[in-house]
Amino acid sequence: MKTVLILSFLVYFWGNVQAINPEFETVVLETVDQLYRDQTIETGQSCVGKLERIVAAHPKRWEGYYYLAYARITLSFRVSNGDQKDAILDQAEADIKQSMALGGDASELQALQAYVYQGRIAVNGLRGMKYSGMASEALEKALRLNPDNGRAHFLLGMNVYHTPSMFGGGEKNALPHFEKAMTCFTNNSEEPTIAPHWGKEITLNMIEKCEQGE
Amino acid sequence: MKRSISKAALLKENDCWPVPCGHSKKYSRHIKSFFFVTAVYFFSCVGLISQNTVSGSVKDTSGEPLAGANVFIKGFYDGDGTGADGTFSFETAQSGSVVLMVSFLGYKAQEIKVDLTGIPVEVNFILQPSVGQLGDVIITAGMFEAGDDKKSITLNPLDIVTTPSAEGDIYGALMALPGTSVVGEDGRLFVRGGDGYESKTFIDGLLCKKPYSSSLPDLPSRGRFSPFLFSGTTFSTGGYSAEYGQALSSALILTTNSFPDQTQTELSLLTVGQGITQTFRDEKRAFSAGINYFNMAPYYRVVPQEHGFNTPPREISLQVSARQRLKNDGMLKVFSTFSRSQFGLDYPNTINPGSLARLFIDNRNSYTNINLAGGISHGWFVKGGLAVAFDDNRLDLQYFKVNETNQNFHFKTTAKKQVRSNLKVITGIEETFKQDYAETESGFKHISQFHDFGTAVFAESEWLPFDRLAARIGFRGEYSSLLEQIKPALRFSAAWKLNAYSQLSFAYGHFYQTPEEDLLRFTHNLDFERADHSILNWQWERDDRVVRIETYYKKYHDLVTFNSQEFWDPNTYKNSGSGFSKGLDVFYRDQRTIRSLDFWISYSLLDSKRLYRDYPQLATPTFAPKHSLSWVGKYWFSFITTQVGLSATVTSGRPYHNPNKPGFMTGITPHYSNVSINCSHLRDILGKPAIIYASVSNLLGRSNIFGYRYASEPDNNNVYPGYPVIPESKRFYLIGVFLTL
Repeated sequence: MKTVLILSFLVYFWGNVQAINPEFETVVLETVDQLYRDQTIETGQSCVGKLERIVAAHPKRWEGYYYLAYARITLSFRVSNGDQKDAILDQAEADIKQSMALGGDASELQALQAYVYQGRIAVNGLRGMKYSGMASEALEKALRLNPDNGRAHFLLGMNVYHTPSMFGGGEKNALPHFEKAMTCFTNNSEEPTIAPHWGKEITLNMIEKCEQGE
Repeated sequence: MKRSISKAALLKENDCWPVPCGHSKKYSRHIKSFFFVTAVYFFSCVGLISQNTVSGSVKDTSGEPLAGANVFIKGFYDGDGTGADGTFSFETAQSGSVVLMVSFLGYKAQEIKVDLTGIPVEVNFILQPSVGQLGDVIITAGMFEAGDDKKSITLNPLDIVTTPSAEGDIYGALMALPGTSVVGEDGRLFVRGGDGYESKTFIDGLLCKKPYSSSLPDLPSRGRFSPFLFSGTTFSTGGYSAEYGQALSSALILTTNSFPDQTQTELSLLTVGQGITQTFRDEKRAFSAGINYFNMAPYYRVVPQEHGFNTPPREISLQVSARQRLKNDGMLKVFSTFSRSQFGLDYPNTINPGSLARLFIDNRNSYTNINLAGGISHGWFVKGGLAVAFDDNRLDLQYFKVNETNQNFHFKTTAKKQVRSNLKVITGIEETFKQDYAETESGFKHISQFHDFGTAVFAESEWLPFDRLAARIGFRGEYSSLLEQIKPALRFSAAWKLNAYSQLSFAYGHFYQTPEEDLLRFTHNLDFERADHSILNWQWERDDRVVRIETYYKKYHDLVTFNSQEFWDPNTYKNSGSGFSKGLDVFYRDQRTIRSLDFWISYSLLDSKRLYRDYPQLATPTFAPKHSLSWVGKYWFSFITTQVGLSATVTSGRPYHNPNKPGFMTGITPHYSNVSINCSHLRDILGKPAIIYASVSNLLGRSNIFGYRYASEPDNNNVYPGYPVIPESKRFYLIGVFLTL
């Protein structure tokens, strides 16, 4: 009887904790999924808010900071004010540093840092000179660490895509990068896990765009 | 959207709860206990799925709603971000005593214990700004600041090189800001009716003794340093911190780049010269070295100049910089430049009217700046630096030669500490050793060699008694061994935040400066010159638009006067001059109204009079035009990756003295105007990013007259022959390519 009682309570408490805070993995993936589905500023902000709360509850998980940084970068592309973009990207950079300090995947974090640099260009086109160079440097580092990092290939493609064709950029030159990214994504096509996995859909879109443009 | 998060969270909770129930079935044979457990469990589960609504608002201490704050139950994901009105609302399955937390960047996080019993809970938070946020009230009186490439207020390196009228010169770009006057025949900074010598340049906190290139009379000098060397520019038109002294009117505080972004080679190919800079970096250290060579001879062959150059300007310069990261955010910076320049021209002779004098100048200059900064114990941040300047000017003025050497050592150490979250102190000591020696071949040998040891101590505190007010009180003591004088100076400034977008600032201060070397050549029996500044400033800033309106009164005391007829007589040199400047500066910058257009408008109204040097009476000096208006605009054409810049400047006529007319400084030149255009095109050359640049000054071809010079003696008809001072050429054309490899 006693055993039953204790066991029941144990089971109950276990269930209770599970019930109230869903699995870190599940809720992170859910939030990121929500971020993809709705491209509005409001969703961007609420997802960043939610990830901030998740990170506050799990301050030792590098993935939390990774996705928080990712969500912020996404949000920075959605807002229009330049100062606001910069402020959001400043926070994203701090999150990347934190994630790195927690032993996060260095290749993925370098790629994310490159994404921040691309976000900086969106504030002012004249920054392109400085930041596209910094972005490709970070991406080279990311690919040195992991040549099969699809996100790094994708971002490299974006760097080329946004460089006008007369300067060695453009759709035609970007396409090989996107295709390489796609190969990486298909080779690792397991169920989404907490490990960084974004990029497949947008790469497909970009390949389509590039092929149409030709 | 806010709802859907709570719903998602809720779904998860419901998914989970059947699991333990399933487990409990295993123990169903103990009926009694089963009922008991089930009852307890069921009760708990009911509590679990019953929703609690938490709502409320988040405001700052002044009652302004804060949008984007994150309110949540500590340790859990349930929460909401505040909307534009600062309100939040969410549902949670939590019950009992929980901690509600709010976090927002720039504010201290707050926690409140609440009991969730099924009744809606309302919580209103008032957030206190965190330490960093206190800096939000920045004292703006007299200050134009650009911290890095993110701030929109004033000028970053790119803003400087893309300002058409600046022609790539830092000082040229500052002349498009209010409070400055365009003095085309000089090229130095003239701020609010102050002479050129009253503005000083500081690099990483240390004095830069010779920031301008050496020049001959009536030819404008330029800044010695490339704008790309600096990441931060703080331009003060008055009322600046006690940390800076020895400048009556203005301080330009330049911060060298902290750490290069990447290893790279930069090439510049211009119609007037070439340069190459190589930068190496790793995580801990960086090193760069560059060489530049300019020669105007080919350009002058194509574009004729007003006067004949017996030696077209040419210059070779070297620069080296090194960076080493240290512990505790520390850094060692070394920056060094060496240059040699020569030029000569045949210029109207005031001693023998109608003839030309053959003038030639040969200048050697070096400047080294070493800075060490880092945190030490007890929260102190210490910075120490040494600047060594050496300048050797050899002038051949046909009738006599002048050799002028100038050595200047400036040592300074400062210590900063954030004492409390709202109180910051900075204190420091500096020592200047100045040696000046000039020799002429016409009889004044050796009289002008002197040494001057200057010592200054300063202390300043920045206090934010509450989050709308910032106050800075500083004290500075200045001593000169040559003048044998000690002067205490007070500096005070304050800012009051009116609302989220606007603020009012005030500054008052005493400023002392040792008389210039060309006066100390004749006598050392002089005192410091002095200016008192009072400045009132209003600034409004919102969404990439800035408006500044500033009014000021500057009073001059103890300016050095002498008798122009007997200038060699030391006894005529006295601190008996005085003067004033008063006026209004207006600035508007807009990067928002028209997409891809960034423009600013500056207007200055200036009323200034002074009695100094050889002035016989109080008069408006030649460098104080009454009205100055300028417009600078840059438009970015993204489809051709090209930026086009246009700047337009108009200033009212400047006074000049005509000896053929009664009175002093009664002449007024025609107005000055200049419309310049430039174009920067970004493109790939051999797979490397490049900028192709072209600019033309004075597009409309206005014949500007800067003033008039008159012969020292009247001619046979008792008339002083005169000639106008005009630019060397009507327009200046520049084409260049900048490559990054």
